[in-house]
Parts: sequence; structure tokens; C-alpha cells
Amino acid sequence: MTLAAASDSPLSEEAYREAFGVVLSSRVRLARNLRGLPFPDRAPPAVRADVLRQVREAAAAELPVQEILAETTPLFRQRLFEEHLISRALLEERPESAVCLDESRRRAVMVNEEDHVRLQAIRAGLALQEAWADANALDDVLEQRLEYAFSSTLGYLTSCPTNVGTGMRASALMHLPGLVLMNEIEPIIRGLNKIGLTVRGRWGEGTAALGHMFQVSNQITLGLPEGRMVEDLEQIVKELAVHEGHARERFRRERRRAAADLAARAEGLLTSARLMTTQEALERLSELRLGIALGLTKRIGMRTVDRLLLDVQPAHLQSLAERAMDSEERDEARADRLRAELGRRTSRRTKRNA
Amino acid sequence: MLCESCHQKPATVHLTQIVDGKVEKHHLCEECARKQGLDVHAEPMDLGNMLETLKGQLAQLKAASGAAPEAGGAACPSCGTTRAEILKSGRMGCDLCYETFAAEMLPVVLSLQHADQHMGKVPRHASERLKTSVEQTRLRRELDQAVAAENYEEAARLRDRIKALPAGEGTA
Repeated sequence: MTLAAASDSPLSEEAYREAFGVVLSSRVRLARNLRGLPFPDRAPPAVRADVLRQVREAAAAELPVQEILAETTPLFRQRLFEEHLISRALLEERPESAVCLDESRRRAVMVNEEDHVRLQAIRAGLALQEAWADANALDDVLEQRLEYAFSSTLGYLTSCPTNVGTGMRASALMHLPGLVLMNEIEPIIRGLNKIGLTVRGRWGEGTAALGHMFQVSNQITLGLPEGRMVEDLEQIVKELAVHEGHARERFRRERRRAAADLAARAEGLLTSARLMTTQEALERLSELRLGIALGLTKRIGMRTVDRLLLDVQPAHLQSLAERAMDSEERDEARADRLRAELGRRTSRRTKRNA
Repeated sequence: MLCESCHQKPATVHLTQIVDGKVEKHHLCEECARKQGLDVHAEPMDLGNMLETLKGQLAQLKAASGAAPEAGGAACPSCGTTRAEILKSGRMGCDLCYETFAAEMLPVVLSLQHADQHMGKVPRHASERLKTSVEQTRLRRELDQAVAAENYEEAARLRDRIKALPAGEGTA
């Protein structure tokens, strides 16, 4: 969903690049627990079942799409994970765990993950304040029916002390190829760590972040009102986006040949390969995305690339094909899909006639 | 502010710790902080670090009390989680664990969060006293900041708002 949030937008290609070129989406997550009950990892099945029932009832009006995860297939769960709607922990078959969603999938609640309630709201682009407002409103609805574990000093009490206080993790999904290619990302990550922010690869960790996609989020959850935390993060994300813009521009000017080669090579591979792994697809799509942002690739729209960043992932690919595939079949289906979406019209016609 | 140890370099490391239930604040320069064994550039929210910190704090407690506190296997009366289990998993068993193991947990929370007081949202179901308590603490801290910044107009406004609050539990 963090990726789909932008590509669903009705904007024109130019406005889309302007709005989502660097910050793809904003997310706010709140951790909550029910008062007087053991946290999910310590709770006996009967307590977990009771929590599940209470939370589902409380969320029913706002989040009518409710999936008991133990009743779903691993492929279905993997797809939810790729959409950022459930965590890695819920990929495993955990009894009495569920996800509740609204129709747009922009608001979600995980039940009986590490905490009894993990609710999230996602917005396209840089809209952390709006995402916080959505999450806060959803939390208001839930607490009409649920009594939360709360202390006047430590705030909302969570399974892990790293979340105590507001229970809030606000994050922005950022595409930072300029800073990576100009070797400027590492000192920036260190600097952000020092001021209480975390930078993680969306896929993979640290500078090995696949496809130059990073999540920037608050580390500290205690000691400031949520609105201030979100405001501070938004300010940093804005500054980081400006740095990224400058780095991209320098990359285009100072390493002109390398930039042209990178974009053309990515387009070539994506439109010619017959087998492609997820990793390679994400890396080449990121380079193509940069090429589009720099005006080096004009034929392909950024929105198409953003949709593909989600669709090339294993569970999405298999859902689209409506069948389970082994690794090589997936690599072939992925390459087929990339050629069909990104190839020139003539080559698509040729393929259909063949 | 100068380092309270060497009194020469500016203090850039601000340490808050709880000793015998009292909050102590220390202001040190990087060099002196390192001499005292503080990892200045530790990433604060890393779970591994947190566990190390927790273990360190427990070792200190053991040394201070001269006995092995877990010998009796202190357990949370509500969920039965023991201190050893919390150490192992880094997770609390239930909301009451935060009270049961407050002596160990508060320093850990401080070192992770660099704060000791919630200033954010308060649940609707919370008692009026609880709401007032959080609001009062928040306003008092804003008042301190306003005074420090010599913003006396704002300070007066905040003082009036604190006065207008119903009698609460006081600062927590």
C-alpha cells in the first residue's frame, strides 16, 4: 500500500513526478494494548481470542474487511506483507491474529501482533500530518469501545519499551538514488540517527537498500506530543528531499555519460530480459525511475514504474497470474510483465501476433 | 554549558539516570563521557543495545545490593512474566510489568527514549485526574521553556492555563 498509495492518484504525469518523485508515501502507525490483559506473546489462546473479538467489533464500522490470518493462505499473507499491511511476524501462521482494512486499504489494524492493536494510516506523497490525523481519528473510534493500557508517566504501554509513550511510528517512504549514487547517503543516515530518526531500506537494510528506497521514521516515541513529532519529521523529510533533488541534479550534470548510460541500460534490460529476479527488477526500476525524473527517459511514465515496483514482487506476480509458480517461472513471468508494460507498442504487437 | 567533569569543554552529552529512585542529570563533554564508559554514538533504539543496557543496569543493581535479585525469581503478579524472561526477550509481559519492574525498566526507557514523561494523547477512558496530570506536566515543561527563552508573554499565558486546570495528581 505504501507504494500503491501514489500510483492510484489521478494526477497528470508531470504533476505526479512533482508530487511523488522523491517522497512516495507517508505512514503513521500507533501501538495500543488492552488494559489488564497480557500482551499477545504472553497471552493464552482464550485471552487472545477475546482481544481479537473486542478489536474486530470496535473496528467493524470503519474497517469492514477483516481477515483472520490463520484462515488465509501463505500467498495471501505474503501479498498483504508486500503491500505493507501486515508485518513479517504475521506471515507466520499465528493463531487469533487478524488484519482489518477499509475498502481503500489506506487504514488498517493488525490484531495480536506484538501488541494487541497496531493501527496504521497511509497517505500518498509527503502528508505525514494528514496520516497522523487519519490514524488519530481511527484511534478515537477504537477507544470508544476499547480500554487501553496507559500510564500518566509512560503513556501508552507497549510490549517493547522502544514504543512506549505515544506508541507512534511515523515514516516517509523516500526514493533516494541521487544521494546513494553520489555517495552521500551514509553520513546523512548517521546524522539522522543522531537526531533521533531511523533510516531503513524498504527492501533490505542500510545502504544495501534495494532500489534506493528508504523509510525515514522517528526512533523516539516518548516525551513530545504526537503532533510535534510528526511536524519535526516532516521538516527533516522536506530537507532531505531537497538534498536528494540537488544530488540528482549534480549526478546528471557532473556524471552526464554515466547518468545517460544508467537510464538507457535499465530501460534496455527491463524491455529485453526473458528472466528477471525480484532484486534485479527493483534495482533496474529504480534506475529507470531516476532516468524519468531527470528527463533522460521520456517514453515511460513514473506512475507505471511505481505500479510495477509492487506488481513484480513474488506474491503479487502470482496473484495476477492466479497460480503458484516456482522461482524460474516467476522470473519469466516477471520479465514478461515488464516487457509488456514498458516495451514499445510495436514490440507488444509483435509479441501478441507471435 | 560547560562539562561538569573537566569544566573546560562544552557539555554535549546529557545523561539522565535514576539512582535510588531519584532522577539525576549529568552534563558532560564527549571526551569525559567516553572516559566514564558512555557510548556517545550508540544508536538509541536498537534492541540489541537495549538488552545490553538492561543487562548492564541489572548487573549494577546486583552489585549494589550485594545479592542476586533474581534468586527468588521475581515475577509479575498479573501475567507471571519473570525478570529473566524480560531480559531474554526484551519484551514486557503485560501493562503491570512496567510497575512490577519499574526499578529496572525506567532507566532502560530513559536511555532509549531520552525522556521520562509522556506528553502526547491521553485515552478518552482515562480518569480526569490522569488527563489533568499529563496536561499539567506538559504545560509546566512548556512554561520552563518559555521562561528559558525569555518569552514572558507566552509564560504568563501558560501559567494561567496551569492555574485553570482542576487539581490533579501533580507532576508525575
